[in-house]
Amino acid sequence: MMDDDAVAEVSADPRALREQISFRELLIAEIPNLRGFAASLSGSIQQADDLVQDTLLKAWGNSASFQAGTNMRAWLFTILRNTYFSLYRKRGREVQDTDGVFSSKVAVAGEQDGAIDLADLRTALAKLPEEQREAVVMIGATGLSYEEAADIIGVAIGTVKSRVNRGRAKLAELLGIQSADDLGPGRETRAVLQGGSVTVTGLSQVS
Amino acid sequence: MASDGWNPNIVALLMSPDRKALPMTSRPTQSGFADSHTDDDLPQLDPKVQGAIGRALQAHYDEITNAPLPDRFLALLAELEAKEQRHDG
Repeated sequence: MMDDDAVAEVSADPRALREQISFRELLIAEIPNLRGFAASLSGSIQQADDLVQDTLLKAWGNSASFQAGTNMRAWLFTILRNTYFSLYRKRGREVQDTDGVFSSKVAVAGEQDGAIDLADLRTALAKLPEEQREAVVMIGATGLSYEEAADIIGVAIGTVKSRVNRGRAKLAELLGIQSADDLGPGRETRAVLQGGSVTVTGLSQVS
Repeated sequence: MASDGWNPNIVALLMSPDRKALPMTSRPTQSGFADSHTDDDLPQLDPKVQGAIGRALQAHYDEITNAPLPDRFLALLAELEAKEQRHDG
């Protein structure tokens, strides 16, 4: 928070002052989303936070090019992915190893039709070609529309749809769940069933 | 695999050892000429599979976005703003 002295030192135009404050607050509000997208791209929280830091620096320096009232998330995502593809990709391997880089390995609970282990999903996501990975995450998790994603990536909407569909199909293949029959109970439940002597329709389970 | 004229449902049938795994939706085949990036060569994902994947993706993303922010970002923005104020003075 700025104290009175700092306020007096800043530009005399109160409108400019308000725009400065709100720009910073807009940035702060988008940081969680930037981390989510960056971590999905890079497969690493550590690398993601470096990427977000660089993105915030660039956004601050380019604030004049942001039109107030337009889509801040899309503007920031564009800066972030440009930074990722120009600087970060070269540092790491094409396929990231996600073992241990995410802190939790929680199963997605609460659904009858198949709980996919979060660690499994992240491992599979890291194996997707990057153009599919970013499209799948943008459309499936960030709340961006197909049109916004197409603008950010710089391709036609049909291309985004194609990449999303291919990405989802590839995830299903990597996770071994290409049909509804493959969706079973989560890992924990399956382990319990295998450990016990559950009898199903007269057949005994062999562990 | 030829991309012209293959009904995606037939492709799924040939690929699936178990006919129960056929996709539940069917769509008319598109010409494919207007847009080179069509999905006609992809079998449709089972909606249950798609739903499970969607939930898992959202859970992965939400876990990160719901986490508390590291100090470094707020510290960076505070520093940038302070520098700007010094220049304006």
